[in-house]
Amino acid sequence: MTADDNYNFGFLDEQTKRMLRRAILKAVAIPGYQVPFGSREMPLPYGWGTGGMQVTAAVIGADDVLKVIDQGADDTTNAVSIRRFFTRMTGVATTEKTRQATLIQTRHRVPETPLQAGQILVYQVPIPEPLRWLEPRETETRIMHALSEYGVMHVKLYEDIARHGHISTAYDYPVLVNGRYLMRCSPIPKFDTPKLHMNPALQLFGAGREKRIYALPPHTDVKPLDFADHPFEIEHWPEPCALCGATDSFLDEVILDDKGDRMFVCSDTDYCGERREAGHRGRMSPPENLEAAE
Amino acid sequence: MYVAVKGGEAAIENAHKLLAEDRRGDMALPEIDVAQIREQMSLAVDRVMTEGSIYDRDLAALALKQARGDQVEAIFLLRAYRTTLPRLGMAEPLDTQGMQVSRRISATFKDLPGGQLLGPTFDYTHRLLDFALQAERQPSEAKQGGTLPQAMPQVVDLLNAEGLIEQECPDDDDEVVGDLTREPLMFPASRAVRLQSLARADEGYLLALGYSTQRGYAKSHPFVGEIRSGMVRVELDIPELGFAVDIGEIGVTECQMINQFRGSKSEPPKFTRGYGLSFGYAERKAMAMALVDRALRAEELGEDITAPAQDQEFVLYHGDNVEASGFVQHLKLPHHVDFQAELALVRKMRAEIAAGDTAPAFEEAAQ
Amino acid sequence: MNQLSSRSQDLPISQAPAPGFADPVSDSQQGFRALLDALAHPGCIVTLAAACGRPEALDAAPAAALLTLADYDTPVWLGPGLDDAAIATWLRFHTGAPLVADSARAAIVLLKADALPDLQAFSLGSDIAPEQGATLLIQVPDLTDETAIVARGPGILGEIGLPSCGLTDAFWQQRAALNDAFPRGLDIYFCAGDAMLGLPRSSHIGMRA
Repeated sequence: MTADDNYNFGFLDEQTKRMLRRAILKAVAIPGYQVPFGSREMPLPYGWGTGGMQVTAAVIGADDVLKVIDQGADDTTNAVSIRRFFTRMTGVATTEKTRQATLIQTRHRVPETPLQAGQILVYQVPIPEPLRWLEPRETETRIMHALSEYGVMHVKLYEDIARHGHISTAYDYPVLVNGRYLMRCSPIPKFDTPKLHMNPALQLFGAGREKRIYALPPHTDVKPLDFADHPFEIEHWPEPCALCGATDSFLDEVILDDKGDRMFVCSDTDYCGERREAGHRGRMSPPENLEAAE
Repeated sequence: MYVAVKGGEAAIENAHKLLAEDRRGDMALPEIDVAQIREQMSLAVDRVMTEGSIYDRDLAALALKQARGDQVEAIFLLRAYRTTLPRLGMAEPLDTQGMQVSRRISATFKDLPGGQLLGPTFDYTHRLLDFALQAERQPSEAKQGGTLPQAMPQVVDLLNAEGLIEQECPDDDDEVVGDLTREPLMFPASRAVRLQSLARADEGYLLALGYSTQRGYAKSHPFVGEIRSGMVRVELDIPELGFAVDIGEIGVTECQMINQFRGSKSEPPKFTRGYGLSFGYAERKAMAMALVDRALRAEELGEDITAPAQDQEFVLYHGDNVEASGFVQHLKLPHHVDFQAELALVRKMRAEIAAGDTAPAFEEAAQ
Repeated sequence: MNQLSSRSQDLPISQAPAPGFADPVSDSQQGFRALLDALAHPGCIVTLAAACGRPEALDAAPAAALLTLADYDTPVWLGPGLDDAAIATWLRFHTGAPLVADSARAAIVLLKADALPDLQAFSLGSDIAPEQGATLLIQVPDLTDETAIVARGPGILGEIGLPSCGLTDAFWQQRAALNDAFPRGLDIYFCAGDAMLGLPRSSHIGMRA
């Protein structure tokens, strides 16, 4: 597929890419710190991945193999739309295989297949500021980061425990990066938070509407905030994936009828497919002979 | 047997086709022309140009056609197009004093040098549906008055002679005006950056905020010093040439609001200003902008910040309708992973309560 | 940031600038990925594959880095030994970057190993805006010798040994002294030929035990 000649490679002009690239490099040098940048209007709406798209546009090259996921799946409408955009604007190869991708743009999930050194994971971030629900003012939160003044977040989590017996944050769980910056992981489920820690891939975060870029270099210490008597823990499901039998992946709940019947299936469609190809089966897999006939 | 939902690609293709069909409407009727929109929906075009930050009537009309008349969508189209345009330079400040005015009014003086000129305004129309417009007809020709002077003094400048109104001095040559489209908004924002932000801000949002200042939330005793609409020349400084070159003219509406300022022990009371500027005849926008501009100067003028319209972060972070529309509407995107995570947590907590297994911390807190 | 033209470094401009990137879009993308790789993997040597024209005194790696990063928005300071007319003309022609006389106002600094000023001469940024800390491109003789200097931190699994880069102990002591300044600091690329090694401010410098 060749790129659309009416636009520069990657849609953005070179001056804009340079500005983004400088911001990305500073973000890598200061892990977890939100670097302000001159976000541009993209042809997709704010809130739909414009930050991730700008980061991807600044990073992507002709030799890259791009994967785009939303909610873990390559075939959700917004993932399709963003993948089509980059196919048109760059002509690069795309894939649904996590292992084959050099560059992965994601919304709300980290792939189940462990990432490799050399891969880059770009997160779409709606609200980059971890302290935002506690302090709406940017002028204040910037000072709080400068002073590493994160007591309010510990108080909030403690109040959760006092009220509910639990920390009531199920996604976008706050983490401390390299012992210095409090960071928002974007709205990934708690289940994915441990994957950020010491990941060999480079992780970049783009918030277009809020005009911030931040990063986790490979092998960076990423610690979820918790308490000794209330350690961080991830979600568990009552049953394995109904299609591939996985017990180690994040499961989507699918409602089957109006009588309350439901099933759980992998949110990561590539992971689930790869397991099925390898012969793993779940309780609702079609009979073998039927699958062979397809 | 469960089959995972596939076919996002096909669904999107179909949605695009349906959209194109709905845009066209009844095929028995002639298709609307971009030039017709440009000429006959000119105030819609003005708003799209103003908030889309591009002065191009044809592109704005095209955007309106493509957006089926949805202004925020049309503004978005123009903004996204703007991203692909190179920035060639920075124009000299507009000389609105030298405007070829088609409308110019003041509420503060009965008559003034240059005179009052109503121009093409809705102001004194009776808002009665004109059923005659259902049929095609030629407009009656307006009576042409005498010739207008080449330059009209700004009303607010008439107050300058007595020192009754604050002076607005241009920035030092050293201080370059920021560019909101290239740099992120940082606080405190300079007045130049605030005005850029307000010029691009949603008209309805500014209207509501401006209105709130008239109802006691940051009262600033506004008077319309002057509103003028017309054509002004745009000049671009070309460093290589060493002088500014006339690159064309644009239609703008400017509003100079005059507001009271009590003064302080060291400063005698005087009038202060709020400023609004829009492309074309977006007059409501210019007025609302001037009210909000003045309200946002509270800190600079030593006034207490008590109202939403005075709060820089609140006003400037939430006024852009392309940002706001995108983020509000992104809630349509699938969020089932987050929802699943919440669901798991809520179920767990409910199960624990049902089992009477409240965490020790809960009891501690209750004590 | 734009107030610099009147205070630019007073350098003569030579006639014909050396060429830059042959294919600016693709070459600067590759240049960026090399810079990104270097900074994300401190202490690892990366090669800048894209060939680029450059003034004689400048190695390929710092030349490509400048063409990749510099433009109107990045004040550049040319250090001793590299502040000649050929480099100034080339940089101005290809990037439009303003050359500044005050090293503390530079976003990008070009330096030579044998003429290194005190690191205090450059902007470290502030706690509230640490991204304003400068990027240093230091042209060094080679990147291969072994020393007892090690780096730890993000991007590094455990610790990694660093070459001296032909730099003095005084330099390494100054850099180690910046460990505690984080998040303020300098992001450094050591460049030799078409090879480069990144050392972001997040790398903690110490001596092998």
